[in-house]
Amino acid sequence: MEAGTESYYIAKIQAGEAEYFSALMDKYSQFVYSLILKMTANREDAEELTQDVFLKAYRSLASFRGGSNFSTWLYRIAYNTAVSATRRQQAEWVSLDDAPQAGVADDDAEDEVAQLNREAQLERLQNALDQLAPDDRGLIMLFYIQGKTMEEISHIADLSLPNVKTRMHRIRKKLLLLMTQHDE
Amino acid sequence: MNRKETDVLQPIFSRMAEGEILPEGFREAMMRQILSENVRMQKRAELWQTILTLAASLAIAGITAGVFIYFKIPLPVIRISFPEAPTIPQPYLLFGALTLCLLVTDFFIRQAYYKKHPA
Repeated sequence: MEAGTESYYIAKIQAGEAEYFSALMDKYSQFVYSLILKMTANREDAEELTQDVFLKAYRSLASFRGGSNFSTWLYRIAYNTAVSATRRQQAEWVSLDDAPQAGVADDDAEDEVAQLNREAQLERLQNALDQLAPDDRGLIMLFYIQGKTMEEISHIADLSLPNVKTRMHRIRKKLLLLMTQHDE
Repeated sequence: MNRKETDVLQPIFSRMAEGEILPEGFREAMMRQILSENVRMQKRAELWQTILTLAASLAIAGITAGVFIYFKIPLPVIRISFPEAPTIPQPYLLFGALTLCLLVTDFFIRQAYYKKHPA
């Protein structure tokens, strides 16, 4: 096993050398924090939950056999931790089923968003994200910020691939709709 | 939904990713927690090892006793014979001297070990 690789660090940690965990933290802590912060929208909660995620990961690392990618495995812990923490808040957010999406053409909304200036785009996206349910925000973050594929997202969120595709399509449509409705 | 070049949301998300930095000192605090968790896990593992060893010893003793009772195997008679009094006037003195020798040897071995492996 080549020194300095992810599997090398994991093997070292599994052998009881806990200090190697810092290498994995350096690589993933920033994104785990960003994902949880986006899902919880609270810095203190996000910091606390990020600590929980890494502690859970450390405790469960002995059972990690490398069947899946380490990042997918870690993001799964992060996503589930954030979803559990925000479960009580879920009802307060805009449900995708309630959203008036029918009849809205994707292309029209995309064109409208594309014509906005950079600052307005960013501001509207932020506002639109704030109106989504935390788990939907998590899914869209995994896709756009972390660049995860649909297959990887289905493993992380423990959803079927068709379900993920449908949800992502609806979340994206909802985001565009919310961004274009901003000045109405 | 495919990740396509023309996706209008992709560049906006890329710009949004900046500015959410993990608080300073997080890494050090987290590593302290991980290291103390490591110590806790090792202690827990040692405790389980002791419990399992005890349970296994008791099981072996129980099975042995069970076999002796079930098959009605006669227990061998254990006889301890001491040297006669004129040869060794005080047998307890002999045992005491032997124990002392073993304790002194154990002390020196421990000293040598701790010198080689300081805590």
